[in-house]
Amino acid sequence: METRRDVFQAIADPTRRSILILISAGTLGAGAIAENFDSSRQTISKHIQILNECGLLVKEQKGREIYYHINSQNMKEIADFIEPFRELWEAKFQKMDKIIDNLKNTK
Amino acid sequence: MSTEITAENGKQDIWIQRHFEASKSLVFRILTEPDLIVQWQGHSFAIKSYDCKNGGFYESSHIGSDGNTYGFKGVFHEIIPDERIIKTSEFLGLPFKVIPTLEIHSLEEINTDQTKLTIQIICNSEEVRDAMVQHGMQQQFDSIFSKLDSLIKSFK
Repeated sequence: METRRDVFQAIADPTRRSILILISAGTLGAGAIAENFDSSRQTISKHIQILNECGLLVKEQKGREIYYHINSQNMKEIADFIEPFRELWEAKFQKMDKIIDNLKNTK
Repeated sequence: MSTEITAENGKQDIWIQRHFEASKSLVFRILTEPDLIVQWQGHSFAIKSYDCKNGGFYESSHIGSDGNTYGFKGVFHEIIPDERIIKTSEFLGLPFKVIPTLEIHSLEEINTDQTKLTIQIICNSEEVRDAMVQHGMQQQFDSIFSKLDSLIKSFK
């Protein structure tokens, strides 16, 4: 349960979510990640460190640079994540049901 | 009626399926008429541009739970009335560019007053797909993360 809470805290931060989305497109070096944000390099590397500690990123040393990519397996293990996604669509679809009722009644 | 979501391992797409108590033409109207779309999208949802025809451009915006403005833009590749909508969708509002997804909305008649809607969202990699499903990259930002926030609070 301890790890799980860490994961939720890790992705609760908008910058860390953005970092995950950015890296999801491919392996990136720490410098290249930081270039995409207005925050300082130190701030971004702190965020990267937290994501790495939670097991959401995999670190790879290539020469002098450190590269990161998404740990797909760990991302998938957060199984509950598909449920909010489903609920969100369901909420939209229920609104569509109401619109359908209204349109039928006004016919 | 409930929404079914499928995101298989090793694939880069998401399937969303739902039945409606309505004819295909009525469901098609709700999916394509701007004054109806704003009724089922979130309250901050605004249409900036909307040209629902083959090759037509669209752009929308909404406010995320973090107070930032996000949005979507894309092009309608093909519109077949009452049958199918194929469009691209690019998520806007992140500090970097993201590759658009391809979305295929299909309508299938169950009977004259029942329609099955299937939405297939195709991403350019499995990782992007996972980021989208699990991190609410598309319009999911608001509700997923407000729920996560309360979940986090419950852990504390």
